Amino acid sequence: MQNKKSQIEDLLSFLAAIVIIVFVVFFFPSRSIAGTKAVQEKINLQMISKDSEQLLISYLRTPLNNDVDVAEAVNTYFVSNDENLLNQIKTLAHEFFSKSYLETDSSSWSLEIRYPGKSSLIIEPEKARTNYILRKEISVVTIPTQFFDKQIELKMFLVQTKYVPK
Amino acid sequence: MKPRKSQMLLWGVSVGIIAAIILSLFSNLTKKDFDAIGASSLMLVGASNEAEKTLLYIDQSAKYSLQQAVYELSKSGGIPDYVTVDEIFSETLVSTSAQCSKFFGYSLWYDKTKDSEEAISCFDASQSTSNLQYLFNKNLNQYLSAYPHNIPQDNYEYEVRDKLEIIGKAAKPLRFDILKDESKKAVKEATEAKIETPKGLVDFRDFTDSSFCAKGVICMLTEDAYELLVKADALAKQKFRERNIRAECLSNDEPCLQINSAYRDIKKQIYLWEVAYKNVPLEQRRKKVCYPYGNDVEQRCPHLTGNAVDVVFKGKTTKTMNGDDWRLLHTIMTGVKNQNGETGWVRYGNEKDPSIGEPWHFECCGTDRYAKAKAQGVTAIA
Repeated sequence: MQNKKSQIEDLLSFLAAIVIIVFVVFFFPSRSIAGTKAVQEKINLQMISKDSEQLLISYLRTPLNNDVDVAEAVNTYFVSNDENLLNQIKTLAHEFFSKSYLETDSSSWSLEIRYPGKSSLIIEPEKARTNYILRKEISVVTIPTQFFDKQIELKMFLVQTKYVPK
Repeated sequence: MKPRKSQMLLWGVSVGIIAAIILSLFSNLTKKDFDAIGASSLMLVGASNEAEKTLLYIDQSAKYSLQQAVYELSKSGGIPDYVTVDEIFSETLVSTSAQCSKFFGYSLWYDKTKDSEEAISCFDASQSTSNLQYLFNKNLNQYLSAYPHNIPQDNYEYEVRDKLEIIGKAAKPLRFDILKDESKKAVKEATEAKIETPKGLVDFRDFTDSSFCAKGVICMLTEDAYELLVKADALAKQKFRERNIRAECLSNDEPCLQINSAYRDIKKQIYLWEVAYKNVPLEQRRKKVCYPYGNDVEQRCPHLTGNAVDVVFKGKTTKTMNGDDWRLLHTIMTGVKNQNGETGWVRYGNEKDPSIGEPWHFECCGTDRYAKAKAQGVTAIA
């Protein structure tokens, strides 16, 4: 029969293997899961970003009147300050984006339109203004103006809001 | 005591697991093009969206360009001042197709001579469509050059319908990178291309999106010409340092030379002749643009060979380049040696008189002008 010391010596290598396996089982998978979650979130945001880009392009191409699309109307508004035209642009934006996946119980959208040398125009639903938590830029589209060297920049934001049932 | 064999097995398993963990960690540390499942698809969608955004910009620009063109055409009484399409040629060429020219800035439609009571008609109504097309293209080019993405200019074949409807068909497609790292400045390498020329398929270098090429320009050269261009750029950097010339290209490792025009296909050459310079008097037009017809067109039009470039220093235009700049550019381009130890580039002009020819135009690799200059032992020839 072996003495106690030699018995422990025999078990040492076994213990070392157990420690490593425990490390692998508990630490490594948790790291990997955390990494996967982060990548998943990044991918989700990118998907929303790409989809919102398409949505924004469709919005800008939508005819507002017979001959004028939204992109042209935005440009005309900044030159003419026509409030009636602005209301039409806003109404269509709400129809477009509030019915999209951007508007959920805990998220909303915000559209910022920048014309060089003028104050920005922000179109967003009430919820995005009052229950605002966090804003993330998800897409940018540039459109021309009547002037070669001036461009209008439209930025779409995903707004995280407090929980408000739709 | 346990036999040594079983202990070896346990240690072997442990070492194996440790090695697997280390390998796994290292493989995760290295940057991958696609870091998650679906990332490649997203990049593809991203490139497609980028194209959609650019097309929206072009469509909108076209609307404003047409409105502006109609305004400019009516303002000039249907006879526009023909200004060259781009900045390559710095002169402003005024149309004199109307025989009566202008009176206090107004285009004259009719004129009377002292001897005759009969009015001479100066306005050719049939030209209005091409005049509108010219102005439209000029305006559209300005819009396209202002867009962040590189959109080729003079890239559309136009068809005018019902007087105010213009349909433009792109000659060359827009190009977008799918694998693009937005956080890094895009440094694009020249790619190989084969071009059908009268001499058959020729190997070319396409460096359209590289830093050598001016925005909105399609840049292609033969392999030999491109190699000489790279040598010329290295020499430019050396000369800048020797002369203590401050230039961004020395600090950011970008080219010091910028190509405003390289290879042109015959369609582009015809476009320049027929559209861009249409109403420029023939004598002036022949000086500025090569006549694109005839069997000897390739000998007369060096840009068709892919062995000619219009070049300036990076950050400058033909308007902002001064006499010293042109002289230095000449020294650099003609200072480059080809594989036979001969002058790499020769200039269109005169060694002694910089006002003759074009100080930005250089040719290499056996064009007619290159051969003549070589035979005469000069580095510039008209």
